[in-house]
Amino acid sequence: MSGHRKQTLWHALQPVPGGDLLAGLRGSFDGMADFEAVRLGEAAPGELYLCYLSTMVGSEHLLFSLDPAFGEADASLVERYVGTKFAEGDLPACVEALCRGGTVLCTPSSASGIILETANWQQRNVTQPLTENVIQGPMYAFNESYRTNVALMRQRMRTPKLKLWETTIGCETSTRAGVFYMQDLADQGLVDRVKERFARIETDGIQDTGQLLRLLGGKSLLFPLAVTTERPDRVAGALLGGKIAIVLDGTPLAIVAPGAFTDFWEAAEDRNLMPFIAVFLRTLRFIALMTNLFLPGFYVAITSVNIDVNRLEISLAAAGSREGVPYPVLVETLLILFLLDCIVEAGVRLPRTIGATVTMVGGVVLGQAIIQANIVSNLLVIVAATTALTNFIVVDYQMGLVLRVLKYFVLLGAGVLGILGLVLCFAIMVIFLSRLESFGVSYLSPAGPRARVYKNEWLTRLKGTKRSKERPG
Amino acid sequence: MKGRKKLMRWLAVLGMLVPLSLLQGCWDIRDIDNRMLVAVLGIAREDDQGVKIWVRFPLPHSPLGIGNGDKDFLTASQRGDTASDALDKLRARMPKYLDLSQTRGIFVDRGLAEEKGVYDCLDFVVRDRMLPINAILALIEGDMGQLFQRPNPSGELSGVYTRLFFENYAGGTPQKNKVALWEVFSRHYNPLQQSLVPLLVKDESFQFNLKGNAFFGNDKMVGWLTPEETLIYELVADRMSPFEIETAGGANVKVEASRAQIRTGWASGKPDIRIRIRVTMKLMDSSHASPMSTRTIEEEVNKLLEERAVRVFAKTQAKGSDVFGFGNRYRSSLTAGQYKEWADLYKRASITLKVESNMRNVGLKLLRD
Amino acid sequence: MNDSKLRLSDAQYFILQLAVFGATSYFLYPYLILHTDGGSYWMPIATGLLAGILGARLFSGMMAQYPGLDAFASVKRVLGWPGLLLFALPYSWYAWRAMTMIARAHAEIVSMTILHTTPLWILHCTIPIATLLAAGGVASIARAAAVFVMVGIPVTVGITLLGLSNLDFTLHEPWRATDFSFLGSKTFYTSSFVWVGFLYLCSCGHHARSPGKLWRPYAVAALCFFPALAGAIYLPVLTFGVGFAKALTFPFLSKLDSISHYWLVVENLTAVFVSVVILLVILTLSLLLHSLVSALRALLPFLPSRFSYIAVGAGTYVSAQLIPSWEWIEKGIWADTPVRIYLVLFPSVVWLWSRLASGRRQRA
Repeated sequence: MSGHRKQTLWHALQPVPGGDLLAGLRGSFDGMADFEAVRLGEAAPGELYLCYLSTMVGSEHLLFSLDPAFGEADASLVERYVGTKFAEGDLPACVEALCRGGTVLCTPSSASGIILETANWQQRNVTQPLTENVIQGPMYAFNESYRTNVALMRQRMRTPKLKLWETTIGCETSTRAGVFYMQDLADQGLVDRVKERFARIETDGIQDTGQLLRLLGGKSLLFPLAVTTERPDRVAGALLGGKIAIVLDGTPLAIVAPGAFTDFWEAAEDRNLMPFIAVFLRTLRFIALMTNLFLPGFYVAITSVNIDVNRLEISLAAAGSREGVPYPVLVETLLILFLLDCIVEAGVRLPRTIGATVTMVGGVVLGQAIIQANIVSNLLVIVAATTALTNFIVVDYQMGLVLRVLKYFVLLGAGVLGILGLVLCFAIMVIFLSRLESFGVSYLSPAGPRARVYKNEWLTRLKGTKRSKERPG
Repeated sequence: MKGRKKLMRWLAVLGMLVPLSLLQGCWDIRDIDNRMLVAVLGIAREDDQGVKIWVRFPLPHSPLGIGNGDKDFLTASQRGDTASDALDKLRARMPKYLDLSQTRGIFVDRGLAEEKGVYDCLDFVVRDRMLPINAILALIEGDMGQLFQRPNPSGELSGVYTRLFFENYAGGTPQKNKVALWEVFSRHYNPLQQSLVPLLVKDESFQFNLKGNAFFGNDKMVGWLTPEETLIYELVADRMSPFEIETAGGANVKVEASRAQIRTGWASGKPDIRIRIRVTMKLMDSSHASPMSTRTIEEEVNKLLEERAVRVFAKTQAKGSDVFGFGNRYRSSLTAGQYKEWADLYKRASITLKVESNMRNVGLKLLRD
Repeated sequence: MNDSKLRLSDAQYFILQLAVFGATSYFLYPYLILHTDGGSYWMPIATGLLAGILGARLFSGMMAQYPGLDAFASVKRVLGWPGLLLFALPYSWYAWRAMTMIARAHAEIVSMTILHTTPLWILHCTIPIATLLAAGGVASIARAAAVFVMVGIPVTVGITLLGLSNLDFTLHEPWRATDFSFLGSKTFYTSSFVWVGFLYLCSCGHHARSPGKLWRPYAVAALCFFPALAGAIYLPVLTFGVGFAKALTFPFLSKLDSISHYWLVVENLTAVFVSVVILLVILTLSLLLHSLVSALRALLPFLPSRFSYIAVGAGTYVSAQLIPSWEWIEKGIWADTPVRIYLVLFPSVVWLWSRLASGRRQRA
């Protein structure tokens, strides 16, 4: 702390007529048990008070406030302060700083106080990714701390070109959000658009990036408009592809925008594998997507409408296993899919120790019993199990949920019109997707004309070369 | 926000309407266990006017073991004025929906084919698309009921495998001339070619035995070729499957490949058809009594096939039934009006067939010793 | 997104055109070509192809006069309101009738082949779906087109390739026809509805970089689709013979029915084919719907866009529902032939007129 700076700071504590910062703080934090205003002692400007929320501040920052050896406070006390930075602020700034975990040094009659950054936030360690496991690739993930996440990104990309734009969201919670983008690689139009969208957000508070994604606009009611990831390497890769990343305080999931439908089928480790293997895996996932969406519908179609599409032998097997089942195929299928979704959901929500039991009871016992009770046919159990299995192959959790919903839609289509219904449902889904735009980019890209901003990232990755192409318009 | 609420309300209304439309439950939804799938359909002559149809349903193997006892098929028959009339009447008797969409084979009684023709009783198939037109067609000699009611001795899912009898990948041989329904239909509209349909009789240990192949004239069966004679058809039509045993002068050969070259033209107002067939074969068994050289065997085969061909051509020419489709080659030299006269032209045609056989190898045991 | 800024590449026009061919050429075309006089079917197909390319050339010439404007706006610039009326009214007629026929014909095909008892009002659901797509604008249509064509065309081509089994080349009619007698047959002119597939360009052609070259994607698509189109006619002929093929309503679909392979997992290829072609039909309907709405809005600029889409969609649905029979569709497509030919020849009038006008301006 230079002498000059110290002087100006002390100047902030000078008594001002009508200055009642301390009283104002006490008023604002009335009824908060953890609010403490400790009198330090007398100094040149008057009585010195230290205000903080005892639950938020780290004691190591301010040794002196706890040290009873000092009977009298003076300017030298503050020099023991070991925090990172301090600033001057008026009442609203002080209130905000206290909520953030800062400490305010003030006198009863000053209009402004000195804000000391003493926050000691509770956070997890940087651990392995929980939702996006990879076998080959970096093994750490974001956590809930904004600062840690930003630091992780900075560590991966040591360049001044990585720009970070910050804002706070929520008139009550004041959550910090940051937008990462690479200068010259990201489209400026996209960045401006995102900033402008942020300015338009009106909300009391925000808890997760999923919520943020909805607030950032987009008409989609079903499809997630951008990928959320907890992997710094994935974010870094996307940034180099010209996308932007949004990090939000309090959640380990970062948004990578804009997102196209194909992005949801890309696992984090695809880039780390040989091209043929990556293509194979992606094809596998794509087939799984199709199976997951269309298999129950297809089963209904070939057992109740277009039975001549498959072989007579299969038809007979299906007829045999359905003999004695009291419900129509459609109802039977709805029933088992509902049951299966319940088992999956129970497995997800329950603690891990009980989860295994639920799977056991639900899957094995119930599955066996339901066949023996002749409520659904054997063939359908195979179909339902395959459907559930292929759903787990879907990399992105949000997309997996969407597919779980959409398979019912396809099922109804198939139940009415058979194979034609499947195709029509497919058409309707594609049409909805074709009308979606994620942050100004067509959701179906790279198919069809490009919307305002677009980086040809998909192709770039396949070729393994870096080629950023500016789109006009 | 307001728009979204409105949309949600619409979605809710839609969500209530969709199940309502399902409750109607009609249209084309018939669950598979509510259908009885026909594997084989038979049409026989009943009396002067009507026909009698036979259907064979394979019964699904149910874990409950409902109703089927030890039999794995069910046979039903019904009399009617026409085949589709009989099917209608049969529907009235059935507990489940009669589903012809997976029929594998259609059998027509020989007598019916001789008197009324095949096309007439099957016209409904094309129009309604209730029956796949790639089903196998065959003629049956003898009692059709017996054939339909007997369990398939080879023990498969009965009836389903009727088709396998003809298929190349299963029991098919060149003598069993596989004919799909559409082939018969297209021949009906094509005066330049007639169909050759297998003629089956009951077999002691298996389901059927091949008696021969019936040839048609003007949509009616007019005669039949023996299985050996059918080989000439297969050779000329290039439909030869690669396995085939021919005996010539005590030696067995396997004809592995053949290639027919057909030249057509006119000679003194008559169609002049010259066929040259190259046959590649393999020795299977040589005669122990009189050992022959490769050359002699080849000549024997040529002679045998050529003589047999003369018989076959005489047989079909006598009835004016061009099963080989030579007439198609005269499309450009005949006017559309003359197509009808092809049967007569074919009767007068001069047909020469020349076989050039080539013994490719003599198997794992040498011929000269 | 903003439509005026949208740019479509030639590849996208190619894709759209392919979809239009796929949607229009399977339902009535084989029947029409098989019933032309003369007997060598490649001649009417090739003649239609050449005439189509020529027509597309004329049409793109008209679009090139005012790049960035759609056909209606540029006609209005050149000929004024009367010209617009002379173009947009027949165009609306054509688009409406074409949509109605295509939707109804496919509903009828589905009804005849796979879903025998499902009522037509359900099968006409292609029209609302197409309206939904059209209301998204050209960008959305082009995106959906990429996906639909990616699914639809490989299946179509694959099934056509499967159709290469059981061919008997002695069944063909003479390759070399002595005369051009097909020029005298009604069905040949009726078959022109396949070749005027470029007419949808009047509402979205101006998104091209150079609208004058729009005929190229058309020509490439036509040439690429030519084998499939020829297959739709020749495969049934070479399998069934001319007689039986002529006796069938959908020779190509019956040909698909006749295919049987041991290794083929799908038994009923017709059901798959008809279902998948519906994708292309939806796309074509939405293109026509979009162009019809553009035509209406060129005539009545005060119409709100959402309303006009809904109105046109509902109108098409009702009129498709009102068509009484299959025979009526055949007659209707024949009756519209003059309108189609008029619409193809109209651009040359525009072109001539603007030439004259510029000549006059130079002289003055």
